[in-house]
Amino acid sequence: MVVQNYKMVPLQGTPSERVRRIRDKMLDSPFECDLERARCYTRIWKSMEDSPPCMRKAKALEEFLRKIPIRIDEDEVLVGVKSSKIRADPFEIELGRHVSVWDLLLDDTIEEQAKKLIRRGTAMQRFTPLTEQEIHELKNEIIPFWKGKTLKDRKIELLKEAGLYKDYRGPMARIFNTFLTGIPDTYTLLFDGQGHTIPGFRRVLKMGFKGIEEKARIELEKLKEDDKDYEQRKDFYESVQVVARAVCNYSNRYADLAMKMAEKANKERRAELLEIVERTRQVPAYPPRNFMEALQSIWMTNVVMEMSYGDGNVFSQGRVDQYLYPYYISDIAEGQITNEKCLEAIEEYLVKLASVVIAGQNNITIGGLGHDGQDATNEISYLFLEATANVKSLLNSLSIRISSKTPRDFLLRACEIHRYTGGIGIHNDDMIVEQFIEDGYSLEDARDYSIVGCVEPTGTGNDFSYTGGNGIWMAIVFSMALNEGRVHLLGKRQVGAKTPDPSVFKTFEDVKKAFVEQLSFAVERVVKMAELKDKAFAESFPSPLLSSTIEGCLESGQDITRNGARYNNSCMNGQALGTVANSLAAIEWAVFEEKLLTMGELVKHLRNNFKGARALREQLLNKAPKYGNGDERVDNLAKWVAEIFTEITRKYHVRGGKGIYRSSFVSAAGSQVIEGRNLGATPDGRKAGEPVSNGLSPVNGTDRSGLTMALLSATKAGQPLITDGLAMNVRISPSIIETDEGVDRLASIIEAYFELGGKEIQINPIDSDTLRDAQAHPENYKDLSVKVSGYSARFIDLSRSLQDDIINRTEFDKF
Amino acid sequence: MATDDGPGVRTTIYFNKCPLNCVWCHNPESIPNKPQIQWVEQKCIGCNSCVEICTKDALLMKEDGLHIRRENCNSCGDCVAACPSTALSMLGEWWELIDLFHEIEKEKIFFTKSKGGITVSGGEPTLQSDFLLRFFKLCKKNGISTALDTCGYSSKEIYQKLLPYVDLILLDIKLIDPDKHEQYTGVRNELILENAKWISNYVKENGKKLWIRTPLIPKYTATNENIKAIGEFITFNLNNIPEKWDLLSFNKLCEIKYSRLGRSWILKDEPLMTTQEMEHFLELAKKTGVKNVKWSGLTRKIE
Repeated sequence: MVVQNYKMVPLQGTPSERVRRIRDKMLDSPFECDLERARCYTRIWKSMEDSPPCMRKAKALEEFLRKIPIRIDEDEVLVGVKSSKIRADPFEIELGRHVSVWDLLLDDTIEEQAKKLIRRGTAMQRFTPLTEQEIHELKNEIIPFWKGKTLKDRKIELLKEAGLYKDYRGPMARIFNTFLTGIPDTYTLLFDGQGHTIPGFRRVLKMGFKGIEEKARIELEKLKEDDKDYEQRKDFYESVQVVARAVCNYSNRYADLAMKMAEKANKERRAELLEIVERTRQVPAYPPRNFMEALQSIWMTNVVMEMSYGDGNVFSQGRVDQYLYPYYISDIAEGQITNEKCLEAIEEYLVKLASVVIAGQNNITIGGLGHDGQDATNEISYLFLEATANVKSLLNSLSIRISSKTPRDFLLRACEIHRYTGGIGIHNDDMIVEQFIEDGYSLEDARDYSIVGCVEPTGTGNDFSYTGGNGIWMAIVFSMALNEGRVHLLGKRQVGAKTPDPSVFKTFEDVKKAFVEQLSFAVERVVKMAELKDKAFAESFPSPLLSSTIEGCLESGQDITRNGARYNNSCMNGQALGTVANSLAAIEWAVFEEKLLTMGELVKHLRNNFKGARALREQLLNKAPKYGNGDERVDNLAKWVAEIFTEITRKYHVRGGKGIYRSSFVSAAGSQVIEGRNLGATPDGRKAGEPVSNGLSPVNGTDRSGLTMALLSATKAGQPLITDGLAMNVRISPSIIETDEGVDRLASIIEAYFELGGKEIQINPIDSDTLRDAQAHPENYKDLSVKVSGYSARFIDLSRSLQDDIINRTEFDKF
Repeated sequence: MATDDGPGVRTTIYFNKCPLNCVWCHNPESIPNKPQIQWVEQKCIGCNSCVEICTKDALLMKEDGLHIRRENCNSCGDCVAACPSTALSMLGEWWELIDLFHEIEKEKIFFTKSKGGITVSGGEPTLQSDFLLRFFKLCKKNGISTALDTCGYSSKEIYQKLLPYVDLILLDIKLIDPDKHEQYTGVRNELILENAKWISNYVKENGKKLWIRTPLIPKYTATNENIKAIGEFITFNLNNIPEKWDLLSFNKLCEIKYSRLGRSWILKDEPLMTTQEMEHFLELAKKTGVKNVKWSGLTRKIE
């Protein structure tokens, strides 16, 4: 597409004054816990215990939307809050997740809580402890009611029935984890659920919630009693009408509030408030009539989605540049809006998206091909790049689609914004579209994919292939191949497949064979558990609001949890590809080629954490081949691991349908540190407890041959096969993109990487000194954002161990 | 030198041996004509494997670390192979043409996309001109762009032989004053300046590119007279044919290399130059009429 209404201007690196105030207020606010949602849901659940699950959920949301105290802050133009506090998430009590980090603190007094929060390191200091009153309410009124009724409880029942529960508790859950709740660990709490979906923003823009309500009414009228699943579909359509109405009423509350506020406001603000009145009466109830209404509709839809589902779902935004374009271009043609005004509105939207505690709405996709196969990069895409450089990417990832048809100045601009911020994922459009076709998406839907969660491609508003939630600890599974299916740190318990005693391995093939057996065992186990989790959702915890927006659900009368969406796949995540490939290569090199020692001896040293074997460890660390250096000996092993893992995961079908488990290599929420903590020494010379490698990236500090060689290795690692997400992290010294030549080189490197078969790359343009200074003086680095694995985070909010892990990554200081 | 060795993404291959002996040399490891071992203290685990395997009595482990008797060392590399932690490594390696090319070729697409390529540097690569010629030919045949970084102190015949296969020549002009040149580099500069003129003409006639590079070394090359003289030489004697003149700020990244080679560096106490000083020389250089002068490299912050 020819972009006519946008001229490249020098990047400012700072948002408008108004947005800066909104941003600073948000970033300066502590993380808080808001009980309002839990109160409302408890009240409704109590009164509707025997009602159909979808109706119960609809009514609970209706109650919450009616009762939540709302506000419009001084500088805001986009309105809508999901919590009565500045930085708090809706409390998803029915999932059994309680209060995320506060969960750990429920039995403590305020003083004890405060101590714990401080002891847990810098990040936790930003959490405000619960008050005595809140603790009392939770412990005496809310939590007791939910005993045995939550999603978590239902899952445990199902797992028990299936004989899987013993694998689900305690340390076992760390290995065969499906990110289900059950262990006192924020990581697994965070990912308890399905989630990772792009709501149907386009449908909301096109029909409005009034239109959705009407459509549900018409479909319900058409339904006949002898139709298949009559009761269930009837309930579904009724529940959709309840939530659609509730959303419209919620928006009207803002109109009323703004009207009231306008009476007392000064002239300038009064005009803004009156515009807010008009906008919130129009959207999201009806289709927007202009750019600002469209953006308001998108934001309010985010708000109600979060409120209906809770914080752990991670609803991503999808192709916002495409959604907004028609409104933008007609406003521009009519002289109704300027780029400056759009930019400021986008900046405000970006800041609002970042107002989450741990996970929530995030990730915007821009650029790429249109439905017609032509380049669809437009003015809004450029404005998003500019806005991201201005507000910094904060928590929300920006995903940039780059195809062979993308204008080069767009790619250059995408590289240039790395002078101001990290937290950006760059995706190979041509490869991903092909992968989607391969996975059964129509050509048009394939071209219309978005990035969800961290880096995972998914359909836009038509897909419930939730991409986060199921995975294995691949390096731990690998270690079981050297321990007859046991995990060294867990003692003698048989947790994996019973593979042979490693001391009898005669060839390297025997090692690989044992690994494949363990891998198959682990994947099968996780699939079984994931299917039961999905069953619990489908039976008791449907999502009428989300479903009402997703293509396929209203048409079929089936909730997304029952495969109502047009596409229904699932994910299976591995991480630590680098650690596993390096470990395999080290065994091949040391035991079978150089014959430095026997398998038996190696395993003994691993169990002893290389005690008394320093020279051996040094050899394994320094002389065995390492993934990330263009060394075919180990790159081919990385490829083999990716291939065999993918082959295994894709055998399984999802939720009794045709969808498949697509493989991914992402490290979410610092999981590389958590896996490492639970893993003994590995053959690549890594000591027990040290982090494993993240996503698809090389092991920290082992990619010593320069950026191009690191990328070359990554392209050898079977990326075209990995159709869910993968994260290739690269850290560069910011000095190398200071000049325009440097930016041009970075762009060329990305082009070459994609042509070689790279699917995703994310660049942290931060040097080690800056990161160390940020550790020492967090107050000076409020807007320093980094890519952790697939996802972005504020550096100062990360735990110390995760910060160190990022500092230990190789920093490339030249191209 | 922290600098550009040509446009785009590049891999630089350093050749050993050099006819010059600059007092400020930034690549001391590339001067000898055989590989040398180096020892990195931080990596050493004190296992003594290297001492035990050495048959030339060249290594001695003392309390303050490993001592290398370079006069005894024949660079056989046994100690490097025996060292588990790569504390000992070989500076310089013997490469077969085809292996070197294979290694380079892996990155070809990065070169092509960025209009980059390979740069040969050193040392002085033209001292191995037979190998170099074969290497350049192989690169060109396979569509890899080539650059030659040379000190200019080589015979015209060698340049005649090599330049048809070179896209970009990076020619060092360090000093104009022949006496000072001899004093600081060990050789006089008449040959270099003659070659510079010949290369300029060749470049013009054959559609190649020439960049002139001047390392700005405090007290040695970074003087007003010298910069002015080089600028005038480029303008009047080279007829402004060079596409670019790079002023490379003095850096101290090589200090550690000297100490690992058991040598002391004459400039180790010299501070980095300031941005203002570099800007000053840039202005001076521009005034001489050279059309495209840039400076790059590290500078010192003024407190």
